[in-house]
Amino acid sequence: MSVVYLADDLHLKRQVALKLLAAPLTEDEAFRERFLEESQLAASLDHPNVVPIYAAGETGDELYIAMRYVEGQDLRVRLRAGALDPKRAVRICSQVADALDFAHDRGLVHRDVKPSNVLLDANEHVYLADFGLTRRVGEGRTADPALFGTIDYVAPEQIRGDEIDGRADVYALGCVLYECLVGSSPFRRGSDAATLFAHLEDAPPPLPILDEVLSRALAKAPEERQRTCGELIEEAREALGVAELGRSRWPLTAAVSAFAIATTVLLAVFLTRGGGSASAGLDGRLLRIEPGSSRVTTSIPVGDGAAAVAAGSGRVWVASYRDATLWELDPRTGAITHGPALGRPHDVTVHAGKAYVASLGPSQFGGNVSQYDAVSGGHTGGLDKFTCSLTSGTYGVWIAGCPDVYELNIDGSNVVAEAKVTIPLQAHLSAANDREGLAAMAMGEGGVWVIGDANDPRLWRIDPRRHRIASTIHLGFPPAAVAAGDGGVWVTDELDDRLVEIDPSETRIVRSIPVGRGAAGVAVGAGGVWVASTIDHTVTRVDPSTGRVVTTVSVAIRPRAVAVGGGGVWVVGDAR
Amino acid sequence: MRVKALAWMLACVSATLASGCGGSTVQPFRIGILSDCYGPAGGANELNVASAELPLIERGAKPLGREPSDGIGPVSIAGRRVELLTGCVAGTGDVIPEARRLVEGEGALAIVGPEDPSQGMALRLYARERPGTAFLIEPSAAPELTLSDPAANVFRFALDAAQSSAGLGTYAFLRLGWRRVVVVGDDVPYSWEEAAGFIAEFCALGGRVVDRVWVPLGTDPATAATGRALRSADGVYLAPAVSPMSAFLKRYASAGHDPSRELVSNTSLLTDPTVIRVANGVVVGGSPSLQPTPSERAYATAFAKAFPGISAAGALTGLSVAYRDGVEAVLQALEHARGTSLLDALGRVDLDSPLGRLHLDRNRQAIGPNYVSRIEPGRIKTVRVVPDVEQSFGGYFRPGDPPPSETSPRCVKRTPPPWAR
Repeated sequence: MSVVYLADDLHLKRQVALKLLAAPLTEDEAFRERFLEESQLAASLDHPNVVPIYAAGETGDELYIAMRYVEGQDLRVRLRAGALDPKRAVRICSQVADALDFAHDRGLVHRDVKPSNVLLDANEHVYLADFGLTRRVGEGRTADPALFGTIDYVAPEQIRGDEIDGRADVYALGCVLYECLVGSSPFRRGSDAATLFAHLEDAPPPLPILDEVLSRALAKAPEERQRTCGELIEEAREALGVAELGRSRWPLTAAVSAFAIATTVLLAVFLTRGGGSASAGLDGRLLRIEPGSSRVTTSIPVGDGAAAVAAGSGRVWVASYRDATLWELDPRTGAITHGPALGRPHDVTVHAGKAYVASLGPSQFGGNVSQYDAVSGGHTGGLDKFTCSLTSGTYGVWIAGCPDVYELNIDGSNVVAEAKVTIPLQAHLSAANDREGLAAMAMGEGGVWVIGDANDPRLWRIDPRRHRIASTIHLGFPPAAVAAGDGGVWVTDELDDRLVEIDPSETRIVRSIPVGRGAAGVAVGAGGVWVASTIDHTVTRVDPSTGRVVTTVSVAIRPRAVAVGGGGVWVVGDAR
Repeated sequence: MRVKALAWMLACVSATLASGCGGSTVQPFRIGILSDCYGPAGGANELNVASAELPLIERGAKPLGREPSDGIGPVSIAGRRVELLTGCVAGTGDVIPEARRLVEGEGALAIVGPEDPSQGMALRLYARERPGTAFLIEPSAAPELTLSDPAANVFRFALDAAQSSAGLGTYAFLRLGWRRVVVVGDDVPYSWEEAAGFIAEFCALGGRVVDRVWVPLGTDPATAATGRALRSADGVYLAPAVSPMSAFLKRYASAGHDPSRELVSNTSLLTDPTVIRVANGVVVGGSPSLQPTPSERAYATAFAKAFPGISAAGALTGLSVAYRDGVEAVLQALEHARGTSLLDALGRVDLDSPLGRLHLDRNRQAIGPNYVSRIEPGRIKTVRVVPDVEQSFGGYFRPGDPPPSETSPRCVKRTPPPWAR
């Protein structure tokens, strides 16, 4: 909707933040009038936690607001480094609450409270910015998504187009407080529509320490919320045992709260272990290798932590774990689109016109499989199930739920996990509740193939018709990935840099082929077995009939995963 | 030009002292850390990185940006340039590739981390392939990492999960007079491992475990508070991992039990801070001490000075301190190697950790103190510092034993550990 520039005020010799409104809005006469009026309202707020507005108006075809330039960072940027300790979170949110209550007392509602509008100077003094959507209480309503604030923090009554008052800001502040403590917004879902639906229908995610406080602040009905933002902060202080600045409160509760929050975050690692192949790199890339020439012909930026790729139904799908995004490429036109995933996506497969994405989250210990239209990208269904990996092919779509493997029964958007096959993982480190242990799956050569992780390095062949384990192979090396096709089952050895071929009929290792260092993803098709090697930054093509290395392609990324389809070999990884 | 040339010469002179300049073959000594930077525990990454950087800052290194993850400059130790590298793991599948990147791609000669027990076990596989590289696998807390078939180049300057319950079994048996106990915990490995230490100590003294109740995640643990076994037991040992336990304590008390006499717990009980309203008198065990020791306070002060934007209280968790201790141990080994190998020098490090004095056993596993504390109105008081907690609990745990699980270890009377008094 707008762009903010750092500008010089030539008259007063000072730097200002100059906000210019986007052209489509400025062409709307009604909007122009309302903007100017609301700028005057916002400028009337003289409060230490509100960014002072110096001027607002129009020049030529552009609308602008000139306001104080706050040197520092906004809360959104700060939260990229992780959640805040309770004391700090409350200290920041209490200043936001002061500003909001001040506005509410004057009959104004901010309507767009979000971390990026919370500016922090070097001393963490808070300035609440962007009263650009401010309305007087009772002064009209709108359900235009473009005008009701950022959807991660928008109150249900705003979505419904009901009349709003300051309690809409209480709701948004509750979302911001939750994000400060946990690191993610409470109702974030895989699509805008799903997020809006969650605001309207879903209960807030549990946060034991603040359950009672947040269940009030995030109540669907405004009358069930705290009456003021200050009341919300006071209740949070009480629950967290965080003393108000300048007052001495019970120190034990503060210490325990800090311990509890830290422990909650830290212990999560023992319970939810990502099944995906995340990497430390930034700047995800999707490469296309031309199978005939074995040359890289395309390199496209995708999301950070690109972990999985799948090709089918005329599209290429990429799951980026780190920034929780999904990317869809039309290989014929080169058009690429992307959107948020429902949690942190770590595996993807395409089958019968649908893309299936396995993600961690969105709840703290949860996981899900989301179904999308492979071409339009629209979210069409899914199921809540912690899923380590998934695969698809002749026998449909299968998921590894750790340790149970399921075939998905798919009826349009109705997706149900059925026909459970329990994998007998070793009792301790790969136990049922450990939520890890099955590293990857593949389908083909008469079976569904599942590999364990480094702590349980076995390969299981599941009979897809009888839904039972047909055979088990002890690999003797930590497997990274598995593929099936061209007469073999192919497993990469992440320690000894090998591609191991298994005879699917005799289920024994028949060949061991040296590949580049850091063997990771593997795929079969287009006349080869393709292996990504993360340390050497190469993709190796192996002839499946002879087992010989045909060619080694250098790539300018750390390649993690490979897929074949749509006329190319597709590789994802990070540029560093 | 002359000024530039002179500046270059001066730079070479000073750099030579640290790392060699103009042809020296001495390579920097690189320490790589493995921490979850965006996975389930990614929220603690800045704490972990800051903790790892602190020993370098204390030796003169300069931060390279506002956030710890922006990196830190080098220091010179024993005439060698020392650098810190960061690696990121979000699941077991990341561990070996990321460790290989640091070691084979970036030249790291020592690795510190990761947090997760399964990840630590996977890293040990790689450690065996790199016998010349030091792996300080911590805080990863699986006991079998160093107890069974230890690798010669794997070190852990941190207590394992079982060690961090030392003292509680003794307290229950000798101070509270229990003879029969019910163990209640989350059905996850971390809870099994912590419970293993309690069971070993309590049973070695002659106590009996009449039931082990493992509550699946997502299930209300309060449902376990009124079981039949509890009525026949003298008390309950609680081993939650993340489940909030207030409701359990309330229901347990309303069933006629006195939690201050009939319940002890690991410190994860305090994951739910509302529990203190119903836990008056309850004794908990773990590390670090919940009543900060002078060394913990000094560490918090040093941390706050180096990283004013990060919660020093948050840094005082066993998980983050393990990164500090691992890097500190490597630096001390470099300082005192005197011609011996780094691995030999590491084995001799006697570490003054914020958590107490740590030294290593024959398997290169930390021996150190654990803390037993009582929740009292307005404070948490340390009632006992358990000294020199070693991994085998006086021989109760033996190499090759099944790792802790829902049913392991067995409860048998044996020679109690030295601290069981």
